Amino acid sequence: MSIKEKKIFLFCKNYLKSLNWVFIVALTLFCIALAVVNNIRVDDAKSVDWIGSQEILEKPADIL
Amino acid sequence: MLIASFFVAVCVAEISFPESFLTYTDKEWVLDTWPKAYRYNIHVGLVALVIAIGFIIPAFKIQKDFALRAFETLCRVGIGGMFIFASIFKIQDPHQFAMLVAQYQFFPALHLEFVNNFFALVYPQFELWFGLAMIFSPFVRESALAIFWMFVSFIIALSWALFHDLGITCGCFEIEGASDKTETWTSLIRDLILIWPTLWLAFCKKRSLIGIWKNK
Repeated sequence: MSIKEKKIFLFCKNYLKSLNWVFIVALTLFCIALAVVNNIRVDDAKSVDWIGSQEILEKPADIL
Repeated sequence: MLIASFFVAVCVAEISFPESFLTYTDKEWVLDTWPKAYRYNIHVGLVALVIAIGFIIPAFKIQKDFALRAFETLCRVGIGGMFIFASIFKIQDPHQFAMLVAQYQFFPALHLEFVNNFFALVYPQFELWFGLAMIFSPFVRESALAIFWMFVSFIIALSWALFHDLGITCGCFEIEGASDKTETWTSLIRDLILIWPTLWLAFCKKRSLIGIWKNK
């Protein structure tokens, strides 16, 4: 590893160390929990299956 | 800095929010004299940005400390507020947003189509809560880093849509019929502009909005 690469690696390592990971992980888990609650809260017409996808619509002919 | 923030707001309005009170290219009095003005909203938006930068540079030279504090405040409120605003319609109607995400056809390409719905449920919550954290919490680095990666994902998704000529709306602020490719371009330009102040915020000091204005 060259000196420049080492410097970049150290900078990234120090930056990642400076972050409050407890806050990030806690907020992420909170968001996932709220997403689950929100899907239960909304009407059936607006809720989605937990796992799966939606149909892909046809591309409109009059596309701009 | 106030004049610059006005021009930045005009830039964002021209590029992303037609029919808002800061959008001038759709005003009747402009269209009377310049009937094709509505077609040049991106150009006008970019000119407004250049003018804003023209004000920011001397502001930094005259009073660097004040300008930095004002810039941080504006970026946090502006970008955080934009994410909060963008998340609301998606949270209200997860089905519509899941439909919109599916139109990008990104997950099927990675053989991950089963993730589509869960992604459409969780992503708006990230937008809302990291947007709120950006404004109201002192964890600006963490929130900005999360928002930075969201911008990266938007840029990848929009570039993907343009590259494959999917002809879909970005769905950033409202769900509409998929028919306008220019909106995808405008969204991509907006994201490419806003990602830089977000990256800058990811390296700012940990402090609240009030803390920015407290003496050292």
